[in-house]
Amino acid sequence: MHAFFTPFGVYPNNAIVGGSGDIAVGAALYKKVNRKDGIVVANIGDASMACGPVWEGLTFATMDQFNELWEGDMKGGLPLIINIMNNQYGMGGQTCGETAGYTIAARIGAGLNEDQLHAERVDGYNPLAVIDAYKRKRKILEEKRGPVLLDVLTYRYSGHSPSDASSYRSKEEVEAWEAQDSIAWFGRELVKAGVATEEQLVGVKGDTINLMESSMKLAIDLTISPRMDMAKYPNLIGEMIFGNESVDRMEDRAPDVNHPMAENARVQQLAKKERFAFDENGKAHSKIKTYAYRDGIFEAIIDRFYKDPTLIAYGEENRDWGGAFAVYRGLTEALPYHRLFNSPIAEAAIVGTAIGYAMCGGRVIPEIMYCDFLGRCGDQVFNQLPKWQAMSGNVIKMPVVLRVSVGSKYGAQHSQDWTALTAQIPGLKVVFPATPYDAKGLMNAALQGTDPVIFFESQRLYDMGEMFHKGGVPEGYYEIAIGEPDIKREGKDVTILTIGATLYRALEAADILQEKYGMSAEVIDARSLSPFNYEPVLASVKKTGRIIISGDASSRGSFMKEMAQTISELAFDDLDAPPVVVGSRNWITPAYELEDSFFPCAEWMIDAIHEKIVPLKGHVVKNNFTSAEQIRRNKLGV
Amino acid sequence: MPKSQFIDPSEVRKAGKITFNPIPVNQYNKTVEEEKANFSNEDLLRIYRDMVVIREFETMLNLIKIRGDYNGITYDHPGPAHLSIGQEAAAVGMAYTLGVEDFIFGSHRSHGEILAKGLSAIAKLSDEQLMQVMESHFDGITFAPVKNGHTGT
Ligand SMILES: Cc1ncc(C[n+]2csc(CCOP(=O)(O)OP(=O)(O)O)c2C)c(N)n1
Ligand SMILES: [Mg+2]
Repeated sequence: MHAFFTPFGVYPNNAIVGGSGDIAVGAALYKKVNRKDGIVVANIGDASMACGPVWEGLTFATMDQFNELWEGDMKGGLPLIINIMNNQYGMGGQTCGETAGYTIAARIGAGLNEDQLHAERVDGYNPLAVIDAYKRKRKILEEKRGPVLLDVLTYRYSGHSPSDASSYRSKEEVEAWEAQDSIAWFGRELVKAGVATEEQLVGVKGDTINLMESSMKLAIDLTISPRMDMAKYPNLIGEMIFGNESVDRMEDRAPDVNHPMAENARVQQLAKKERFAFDENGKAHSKIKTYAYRDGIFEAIIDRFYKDPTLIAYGEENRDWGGAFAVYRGLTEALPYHRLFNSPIAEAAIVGTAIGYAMCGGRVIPEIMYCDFLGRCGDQVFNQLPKWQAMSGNVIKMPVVLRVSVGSKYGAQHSQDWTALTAQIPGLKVVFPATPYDAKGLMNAALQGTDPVIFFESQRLYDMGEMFHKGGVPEGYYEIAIGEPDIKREGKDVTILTIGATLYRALEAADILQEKYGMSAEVIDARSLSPFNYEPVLASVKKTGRIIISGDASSRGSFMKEMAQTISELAFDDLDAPPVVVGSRNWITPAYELEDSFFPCAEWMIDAIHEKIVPLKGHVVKNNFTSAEQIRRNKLGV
Repeated sequence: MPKSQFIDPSEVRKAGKITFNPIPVNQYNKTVEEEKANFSNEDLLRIYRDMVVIREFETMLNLIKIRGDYNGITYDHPGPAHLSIGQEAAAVGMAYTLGVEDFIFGSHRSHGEILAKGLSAIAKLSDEQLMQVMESHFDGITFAPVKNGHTGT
């Protein structure tokens, strides 16, 4: 199911129905943007035409901007053929007549663009009819009038899998198709036309059987075709999960840009900004003068755009708008359309096409505007992005940095921190910087690698200046190693480990602990979720003997819980009390005005320390962190 | 969104209708005799051969799955096998004209497409190029089993 052989142009097959429907679009985008020869064919089933991501891939592939806005040699359609292998069934559901409404799948083309995708139904029982279609459609692609949709009619006699009892179709139907079997028919035609003799055809069959027998013997002989030796190399699969490479550019050539970087208006503005949040008297600079978190991300990204000619970025409102949170402001002027563009509102296609683009050798930054929309690209983030490096034995690289912005003030469907969903999936690197210095350094590191990175940002942070790194955010290039937590404030009595924007509330808590209770807190910013180096945290716990872990995710099943469990196991002897998680409630995120009752704050952290770790003299709790309450909430599932 | 594109209300509010062009269905109608002008006998026989290879390959997999042997060679394969027996003409037709630099992506039912594309690429590569591919891909690990004494074509 996952076979591939890239030197012959055989790219991965996909066990997820319709999985290639957006990945192949990204491959065609790669060919176009990087001026590579060749076309891309997405072979997908007739039943897969119902899949949301396939539709999203089609809408992405048919965007008007390819013709209306992309300029020069970039003007024109994608070199892509959507090839429906229409065997007229899903597993047991019949498309025409039962599970679809298109009757003839080629009809789909009419709904997508004025060219109707140059759609056609072709008789897939005659190889020459299909070849004829490919010759004609290739011309259309060469004229940059793609994409093309082919509905290649065919039929499988075999079951969906050998265990299939074919209870969904009649014996007569299978026999009727077998009676028109394409191989037998074509053989007869060849003989009739004097192309080959009966004997020759029998010879072909005989040779083929010999080939299969000898191939099978070689394939099943473990001395000749050994399996991976997991006994001798127990980490072999683990070693394939990430490449951990460091690559400046995926290809060596001059990048397409509109002006030298130094002429960019945003770059020039940033040169005048204060790269540390406070002046020498400790007074905060004005917001307008402060180099902020969004600027750190911008600087890393524009730098890579001028280094790596393959780098492209896209997502919703990424171009003229500059991204919903103005991270890309200024990039529109610097880059032609084919390197920065607005995607359709199609998260599955945004990520899916990026996967295809990266598979073929390009670097790409897709963007998901709100973390809450991750569900819309679930398959791409959970099954595709993390898997293909290892599934290809590292032949395929996946230099994708998926930017995901965690919302705030925006209610139940726009304010959720779903970091745990991604950190739980093997094969993804997950980071969540909380400061401009870390944001720039981690983005640089993410873009220097060839592994997929989920880059969480927070809408609480975009305006924030750098408050920690002495001397402010460096103007030059630097990387922060993915996986390394950072001690933001040293202390000796309790450790507070935070994920993302909660850092600032932890610092508030640390101030209060110091002032009111004479307790010094060490505040550690996780910065990354996976990979994660526990050593600095363990060293801190060795010193403090106490730890709380805080983040904005709902606490049940969160990455904070994962950290708490790991720290319990690794630092048991050093701990005075079990690690305590202070996350958000297991509720919907309420409206901004009620957020204090949902997200962790300094007060909660102090109450939790008092209740669960060490009583604070004179402290009066406002929130219920007792074990009885924890049991009650769990019973209710809230 | 781009300012260069003006959405004119008096244009877009006009009455009108969308028209569609007919979508061709199974319009190809040449005979093999007629196609002899476009294909050599070897080409046509190769198309046949590629279909037979795919059919036999999947027949082998099917027999391994349901019987545990192919022509007396036994093997147990507990994993899945999604076969496309019957779909060979579609696969070979798709791949026949594609160049090595053309990419195909597939599904859970893509043995036929992969074999067709592989055979098509092999036909387009010189022996030297093929040797180079096989020796460098995966450091030659996938080449090793067939490097010596392979009896196939
Ligand atoms: C997302 C997803 N849903 C369901 C399945 C289970 N499944 C495997 S094949 C298949 C039918 C697919 O039909 P079609 O797309 O027409 O391809 P065909 O098998 O006919 O080649 C189904 C439902 C799956 N693999 N992935
Ligand atoms: Mg089907």
